[in-house]
Amino acid sequence: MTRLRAGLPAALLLAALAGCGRPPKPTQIVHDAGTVAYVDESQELPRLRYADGQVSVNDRCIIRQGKLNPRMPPIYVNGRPIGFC
Amino acid sequence: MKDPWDYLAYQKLEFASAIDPSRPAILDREHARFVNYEIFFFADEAEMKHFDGELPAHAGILTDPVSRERFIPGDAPAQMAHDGRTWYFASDASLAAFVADPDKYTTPDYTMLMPKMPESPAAPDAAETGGG
Repeated sequence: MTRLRAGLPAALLLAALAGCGRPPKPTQIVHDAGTVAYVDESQELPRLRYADGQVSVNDRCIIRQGKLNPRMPPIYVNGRPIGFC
Repeated sequence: MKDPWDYLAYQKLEFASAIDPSRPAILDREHARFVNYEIFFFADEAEMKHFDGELPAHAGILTDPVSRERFIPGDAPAQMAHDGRTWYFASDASLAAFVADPDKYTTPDYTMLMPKMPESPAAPDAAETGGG
């Protein structure tokens, strides 16, 4: 029992030290390899595929209802891109 | 209309919750969180509290408001509280620029974005239209 009492704090201390030794996760820049392009140019209001590979949730800009502009960066809603024009 | 959830609802866009993708997000002010230029919607208040407690880990990829780079925040990202919100940065250099003039960066001003993307003759000029 005495050995158990002595061992428990030591184990906790070792666990704490192990946690302290973990290097902090660094901030990571996401480099988009792709280009921005319409998914289907034949459509009147095509969706856009952005440089990160994601396709716009919308097929027309949410305010003026026009064709999406590949030069306008998207706003991300729950991680999904909304295109603008 | 002027709030983002109004526009999303007008287009009948639907999103899964930012915490539990099996649940639909509620698109209104009470279920929204803004982190940098990203918007997150949730299924209920409990999910929002969970999100708040584990920011920025739950935010996924964010946009640096200064450099516009997309980045995944690490364990201790550069950050600054401004006007009731915490802003996260991809680098200390971005943080320094933001500290010097935060109001310059707190709204996504599309006309000042440098177009990395190809020119499209069919697309209207962003600088003229101001976005939409």
